[in-house]
Amino acid sequence: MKNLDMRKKRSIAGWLFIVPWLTGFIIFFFQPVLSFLRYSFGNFKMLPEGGYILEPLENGVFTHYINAWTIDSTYPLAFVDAFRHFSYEVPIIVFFSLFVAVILNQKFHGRTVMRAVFFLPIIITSGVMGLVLGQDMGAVEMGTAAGPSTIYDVTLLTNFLVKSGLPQNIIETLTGVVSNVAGLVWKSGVQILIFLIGLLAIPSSYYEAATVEGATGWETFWKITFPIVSPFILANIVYTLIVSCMEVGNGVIIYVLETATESFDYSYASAMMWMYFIVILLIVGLVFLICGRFVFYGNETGRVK
Amino acid sequence: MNKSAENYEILISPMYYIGKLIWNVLRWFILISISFIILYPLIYMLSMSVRSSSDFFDVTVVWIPNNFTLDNFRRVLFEIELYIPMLHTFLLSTFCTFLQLFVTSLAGYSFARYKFKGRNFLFALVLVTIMMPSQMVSIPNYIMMKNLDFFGIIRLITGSPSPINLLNSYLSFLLPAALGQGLRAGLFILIFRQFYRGLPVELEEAAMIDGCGHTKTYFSIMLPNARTPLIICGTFSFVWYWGDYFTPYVFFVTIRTLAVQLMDFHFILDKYLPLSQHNFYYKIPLKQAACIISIIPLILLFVLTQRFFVKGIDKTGIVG
Repeated sequence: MKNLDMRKKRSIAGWLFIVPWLTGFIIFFFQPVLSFLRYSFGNFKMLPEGGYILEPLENGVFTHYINAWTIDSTYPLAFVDAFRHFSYEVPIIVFFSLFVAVILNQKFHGRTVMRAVFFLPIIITSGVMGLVLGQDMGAVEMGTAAGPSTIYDVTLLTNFLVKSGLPQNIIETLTGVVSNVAGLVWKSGVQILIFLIGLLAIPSSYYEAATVEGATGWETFWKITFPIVSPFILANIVYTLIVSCMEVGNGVIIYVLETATESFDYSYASAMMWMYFIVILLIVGLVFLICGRFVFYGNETGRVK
Repeated sequence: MNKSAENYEILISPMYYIGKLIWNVLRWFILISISFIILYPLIYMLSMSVRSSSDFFDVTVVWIPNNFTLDNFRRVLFEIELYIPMLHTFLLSTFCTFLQLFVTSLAGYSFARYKFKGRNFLFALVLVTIMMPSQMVSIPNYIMMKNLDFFGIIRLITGSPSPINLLNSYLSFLLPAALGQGLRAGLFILIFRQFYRGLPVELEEAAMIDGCGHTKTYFSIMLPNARTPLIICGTFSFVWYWGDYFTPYVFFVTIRTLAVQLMDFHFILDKYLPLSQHNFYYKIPLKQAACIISIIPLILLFVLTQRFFVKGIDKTGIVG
């Protein structure tokens, strides 16, 4: 050990810190996912006496993958629709939660109470509570389009927009966003909190210096707040993307789950899931590549000596 | 905070105060309207759970019941015995949260501060774990938990499927959590990584110069400084384990957690209510009472951890 240089030692320590996670990853993630991949290349059948068998496919292992695009009429539509959906949902949620977090970070009376209120969605949408509430309130699930957004009426806005002569799909998108405001608020709980962590980490001396120098609130935001929270913006974009593509209200997920649990075609469902999954993975990778360039890490810790 | 700067502003522009006033009014308008959206279901729950069935069918009662009653809570807790699953859920969530925090913060620190071969690849794998929906892998997961094996090694040695059966035991939750594969562990690694990257390098360098090893630096310098993300991630983790109904549904048979009970509450109530009340609407007050009961511990947790959310890093002694 003594002969190793500093860098080697550090790299070994880094590996050791990751070992517990890596072990878990291999056993509890990689193994099931590998079998999940294997099922998609065959015909998965549960046996009545327990256990399962995997029948080989006649027309090559990729039959399910090809069928999803050539024979199935629902999957390609749901697929495209899902991506159209988060092309506007992700930026709206991230901007909205940054906005709210900045407001909640300002000094005003009753701030503590307000912060507590804004964390409530995390509790309520976290699982079963949202479902039970949703059933009772005549909606499907909290946080989806059919959730508490029903307390808003958009007919007035729709009528107004129709009279103004805008094309149909623009009206639909607009009213969709408006009637979904409640859903967006419900979905932003975690993001607001993540931004708040980032904002709290900014030393107040930075702001004091800016005030003394005569910077306006606008300038302070773009020159101090924004660069420092930029790593959290990246984290939030990725998180929002992942959550909204995997939420149960998503068209592709609904269809895949239906195929798996109602038609018991588990192999076909897993093939569809894999394609969706890989595209999402590519998008996340792209976001990391593009946004990663603009992210500012205050002390350049990425470059450890 | 700095009186001199504000006095200076008054001398230059009276507009400063007008702008501040307008912003104040606007801020409250925004905050209150959003709070309404958030609080609406809670008010609904509260209002439903404290009314008797006669109030429930009374059209004149909109929000505030005529005769206030806590009977729904008593029935749900002790007649339907919701306190047993509550205890299970509490133990499970607490243990898993602590195990999970330990492993994920360690991994997050390594990703943030150490350079080693394959770091970026491993980090990409972390993101992959966040993305895999648990519903889809539930069947392979179930099969795996029934005969826990390491790529068929045990099967190869003994010749029969592995005898380790983790189904219907706490271990099916604790083991993944202890190895960093708990509920949304990848997200916590991401948060810790971003946090540790923001801490000054000098902190570590000083500790190293003073003769701390890697482990000691981590546990006595870095971890105490990470109190804010630790508590926030801990709260998240607890809340998510508490509300998760899918995993216990798959892994547990006799152990019933709160979320599973709530999910099946409709059918459970059928056993307790007389046949004349086997109606969707009769069950709503009881269901909402059960919801309130399951939310109260979470709200208490938030009240307790609230001050850590508020406290800035500048008070923990890192900066300056």
